[in-house]
Amino acid sequence: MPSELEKAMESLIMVFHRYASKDSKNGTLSRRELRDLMENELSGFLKSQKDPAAVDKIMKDLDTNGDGQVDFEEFVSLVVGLSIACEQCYKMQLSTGGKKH
Amino acid sequence: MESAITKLVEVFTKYAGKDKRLGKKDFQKLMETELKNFITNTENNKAVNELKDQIDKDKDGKLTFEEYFCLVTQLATNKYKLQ
Repeated sequence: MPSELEKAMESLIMVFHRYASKDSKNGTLSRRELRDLMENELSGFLKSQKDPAAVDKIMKDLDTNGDGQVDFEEFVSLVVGLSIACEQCYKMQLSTGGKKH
Repeated sequence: MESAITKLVEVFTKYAGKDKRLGKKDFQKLMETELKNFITNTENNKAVNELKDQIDKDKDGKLTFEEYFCLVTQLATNKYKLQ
């Protein structure tokens, strides 16, 4: 029986795989696949997917080897960035919650 | 996907102490409880401590969220490659 942490990790792999296999290059995300993923999976965390320039910038930042595609290792750095932002948000919530009480 | 990311953060917060870092015992508990299907030997404290020292980049004996996350992403990448 997988734990919650293991399930969360598997679900990230599945999400990547689902979007990466939309075109002929199955192991990587093209710009279009990345935009679809951001639109459908990250609409609560990110607002920038509606802005083509922002998608381009994120794509460029993630694509560290410059091949125009985002592979799983490169995708993981997006997850890292979001998680760190999410954790900082969590800390802020805790501290503002603490002040109220 | 957002719920998966939130879960990764929640797991860390659950095991971390008040200082928002994972000490030796916190990390052992997290490994035993949350990663026993992904990693073998999680009940071997010596092996777990060695792993912790490898991840602990600033060598302060405790794991920050960033250090914990390096482990999570490495595990996910390895698992992805195996599939």
